[in-house]
Amino acid sequence: MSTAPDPVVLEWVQAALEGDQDAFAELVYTFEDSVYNLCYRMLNDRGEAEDAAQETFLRSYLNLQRYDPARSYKTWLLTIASNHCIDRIRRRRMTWLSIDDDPLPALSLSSDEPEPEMASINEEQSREIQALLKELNPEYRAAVVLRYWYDFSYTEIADILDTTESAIKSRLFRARQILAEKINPKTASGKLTALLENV
Amino acid sequence: MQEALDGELESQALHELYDRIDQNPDEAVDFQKLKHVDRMLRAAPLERAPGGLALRIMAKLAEGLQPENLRRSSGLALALALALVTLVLTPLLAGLGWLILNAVGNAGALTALINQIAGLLSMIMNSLDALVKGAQGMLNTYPEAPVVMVALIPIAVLWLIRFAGHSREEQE
Repeated sequence: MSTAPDPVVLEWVQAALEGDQDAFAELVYTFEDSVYNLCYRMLNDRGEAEDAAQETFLRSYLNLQRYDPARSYKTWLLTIASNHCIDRIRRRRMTWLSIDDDPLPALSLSSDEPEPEMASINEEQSREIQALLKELNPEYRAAVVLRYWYDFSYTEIADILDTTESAIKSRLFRARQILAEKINPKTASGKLTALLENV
Repeated sequence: MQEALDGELESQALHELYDRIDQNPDEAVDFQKLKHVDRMLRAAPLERAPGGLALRIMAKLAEGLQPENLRRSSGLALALALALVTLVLTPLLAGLGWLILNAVGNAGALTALINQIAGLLSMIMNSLDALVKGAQGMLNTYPEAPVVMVALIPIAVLWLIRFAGHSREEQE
């Protein structure tokens, strides 16, 4: 994945730094899906993911002067989101709350919504994958999400999670092993098996 | 195996891996499972943000910025006020310190200072004495005055309470 900063994004960042809130709104519109997806995959709860996404953008706005324009804004944003989600999971563990539930159905009001049947299949696949991700600790989960949903290289993931490339390789290795044990095709549910066979 | 999944292996190393897997059924099973995981994750959909998230973020930002600005302004005002007070107090404290040091080091100056303080206290005492004498004179002329004053005290207290309550309501 290319990490070269997009000139248009840099312009928005510069304008936002000068107090232009419309420019920051452009940044939010452009990256809201990426940030929300990361938060949802990490936290496994739509409501909490939305809160975390909001918090990520607010932190980004308040620390915009610390953003290094040589780096991709998206990578910087996902760094904030990953750290925030890992902190949230740790806090949640400390307060002994369960992360097992995903009580909210997928409700999206955007106009370019997929067809209902397709949305239902996506939703089920999404839940199956969430159930698997839940088996991983936050550091492993973050590495998997950044690798598979954002196609980041080992180096980029190491940079985002503030660790070494070999640590990332090791986390991905362990994470895949754990997931492989959990998704034995013989025990996987119907939709997931179909997904595995089709790809 | 892991590097093969991530496309990080050179073709030579990849061939060697496949040869090894062909000869080892256990490893083949493991590799197959890892490939399943890899394919499943690669095919996973991106979860879209709920509608209106960007608007909610911008609204929260606008809401959060005002107190932030106020906090920043209040902090600045406090810092300026402290700087001003320090600026005014520094020469006064320096002067006072100089006076004390001189007074302690110089018996004549110390005596003069004590005399001045004693004079000031004597003046206050004289004023209080005159006040008491005036009150006694008034008591002799109007014997009912103390009773009137005692009666006026609860009325004055009541009026003060009502005034304070009214001011608080106006502030709210």
